[in-house]
Amino acid sequence: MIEDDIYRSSTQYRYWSYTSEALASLRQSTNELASERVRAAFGRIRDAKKVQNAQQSDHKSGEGVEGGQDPAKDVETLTVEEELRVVHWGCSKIIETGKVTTPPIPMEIRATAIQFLRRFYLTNSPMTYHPKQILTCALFLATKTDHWHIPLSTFVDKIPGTEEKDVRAPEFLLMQGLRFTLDVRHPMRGLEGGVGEILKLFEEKMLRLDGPDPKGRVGKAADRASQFLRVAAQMTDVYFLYTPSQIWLAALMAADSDLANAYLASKMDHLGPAAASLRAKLELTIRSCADMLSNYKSEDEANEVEQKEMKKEMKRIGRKLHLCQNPEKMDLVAVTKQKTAEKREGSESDKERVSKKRKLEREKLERDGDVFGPSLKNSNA
Amino acid sequence: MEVTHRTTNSQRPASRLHTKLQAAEKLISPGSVLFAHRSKPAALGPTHVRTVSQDMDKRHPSSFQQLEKLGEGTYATVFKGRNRQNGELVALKEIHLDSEEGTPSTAIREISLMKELRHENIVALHDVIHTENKLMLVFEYMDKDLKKYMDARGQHGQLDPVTIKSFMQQLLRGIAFCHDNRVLHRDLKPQNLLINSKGQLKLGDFGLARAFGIPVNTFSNEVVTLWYRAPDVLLGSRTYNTSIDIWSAGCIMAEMYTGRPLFAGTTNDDQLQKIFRLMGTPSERSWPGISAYPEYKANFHVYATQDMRLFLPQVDPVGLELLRSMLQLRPELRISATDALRHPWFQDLPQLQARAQQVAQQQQMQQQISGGYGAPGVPQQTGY
Repeated sequence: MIEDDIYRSSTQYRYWSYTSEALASLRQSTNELASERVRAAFGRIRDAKKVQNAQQSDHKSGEGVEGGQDPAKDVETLTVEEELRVVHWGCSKIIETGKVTTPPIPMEIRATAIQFLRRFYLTNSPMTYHPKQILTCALFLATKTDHWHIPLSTFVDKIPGTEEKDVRAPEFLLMQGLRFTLDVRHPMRGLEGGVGEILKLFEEKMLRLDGPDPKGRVGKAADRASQFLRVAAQMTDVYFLYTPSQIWLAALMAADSDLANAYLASKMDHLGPAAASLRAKLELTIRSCADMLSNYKSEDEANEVEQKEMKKEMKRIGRKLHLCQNPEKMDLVAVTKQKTAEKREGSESDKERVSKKRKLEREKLERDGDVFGPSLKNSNA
Repeated sequence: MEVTHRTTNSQRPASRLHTKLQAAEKLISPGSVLFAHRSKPAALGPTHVRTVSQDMDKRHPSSFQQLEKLGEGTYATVFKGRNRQNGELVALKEIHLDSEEGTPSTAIREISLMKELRHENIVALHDVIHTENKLMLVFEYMDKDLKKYMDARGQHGQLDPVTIKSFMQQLLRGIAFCHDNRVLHRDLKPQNLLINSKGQLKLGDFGLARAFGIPVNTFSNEVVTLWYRAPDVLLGSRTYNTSIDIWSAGCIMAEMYTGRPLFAGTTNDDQLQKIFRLMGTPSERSWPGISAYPEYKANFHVYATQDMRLFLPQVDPVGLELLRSMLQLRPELRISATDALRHPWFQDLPQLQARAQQVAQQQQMQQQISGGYGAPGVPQQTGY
């Protein structure tokens, strides 16, 4: 198998790669579905209140039932863009949270957690589950999948306001949302290999680098590219839209486009004009990914006015989310408990099946009784 | 329910690349991945928002009827089960959830690996179900493990040469696929190789497997079952690689011929001694660097290398040659799974199998006439 075949057999390619159109429409339908559910949940609360009010008014006759506003009608749900902002807040929170544990969680594991979060919110809405409920669980799950063991008690120790049960409760929900695919393929290691190869090609005079300190230039480009992979690649959709090798090449392109082009040329020049269209496509793809990476601006990089604007916007969305958060899913520990309780008791069909079986057995016993006569005990009596 | 389609990728020889350009087109990952497939990601259309969540909610422990216990895995109990909806048999691996840490990381890793490894020689993970305090992995059902199969089928555990060759090919295909995907199994043994009624062999129990990559020097050296453990691991190596699975495969091949484990040691030292007694005690001269291994002892009893024909008279000369290349003491000299599959020993397998099938059909007809029915043996396995 060559590398491409291996990548194509990965779940990252099979389950989590999209065209930008497919990605947008998936988010749109997730948003619509969640909005419907939020309205329905508020509707149920309204109905329950009505019943309560009606009962109360029975007791204290004369007090009006009407007059209460309809919460289901009024609830204003988040847009897709607002949902995305909330998810991005969760992603940056993962980066921060990974720093506070002792020892700090390696960047690549934080990146896995971020991708878990991003994948989860393709089919779940922050209106249903707030990222603050999911992100610590995502981070802890990433330490398990990526062989970086840390006891849960140590993990929550330094995370303010988080208890062990809060981390455990959403674990299955999260894995379900991830469709049990927990293997995330990152571009970081590819970049390391690529940079190593560039230096080797340079030493072997297969790749020409201009400037007074060509090796220093490669090192600088590698650092910048690595920074793109650590932040911009995590905060944008590039994992959904491009392969790991496209992403690291794009990061290198964003860091030092001449260097990236020289590298590509060293790989493709000898293929001749027949490869021209292939090469054009490749460069276009990497260019578009590089644009996504370099267009991303973190809050730290923004100027003061922009930072203020970002904070203000985030506050507005936060307030809005507070009002449209699905009231039935707020307490995940309770939701999980309720679910397992339902499972313990068995579903309706289970109960029906059991009672049906008992009935059949009883009937059979009665029939058999007819054939073989009364039971021994009775006959002795 | 999610259907896991088997991939046939691995069987496609990578050598069908005629021109340099064709080769380049295949090798340049970004372009070939992006443009060949990006146009139709229909498998993940927006509709799956509903289907995933609904299917997941429906999936309930009671969807499966739990039948008899099949055995104990490395960290879980395995039951036979029946899908209530379609009657299909499955193997249910029950994992108790840690009340402290949530889902155990062994289970997490196994789920993660099994989701990636879709291959006809690797047991398929169909589903994951959550119950009150358990996680249930739903695997495809396999009739028995290789150990039980040998006990039931062979004469004193010995199998016939055609079956051995077919099993070895399937075993090596499964291993090659793992290694291509940067996964070491680390615990290959007859109990972890599952056999179904169609004579298919699949690798199971990935509880100890892990993805490898760099760095590899943090591996614990307490993993592979002693009898199938490679000498470099026994010597304390913590930087082992894919070659440890090949050693295990070699041991398994010999065992299928003789019905007995090739090196049945009781302790680490005893295991090394049993290996050296047949393969010869290595020295700095035959294995440069061996004295640097943590468990190396200058006073190892010195044995001469035995002629394999003498202790494995059942194996044909070509087979012995393959076996020798798998049972190399020095890990770097051990053949890779991909190369082993290209070994001439496998060349006549299709003809042998066709002939064996004819014989089997004739026997079956005779059996049907005489009303006989082969004892299916007790299906019991542990290898999930």
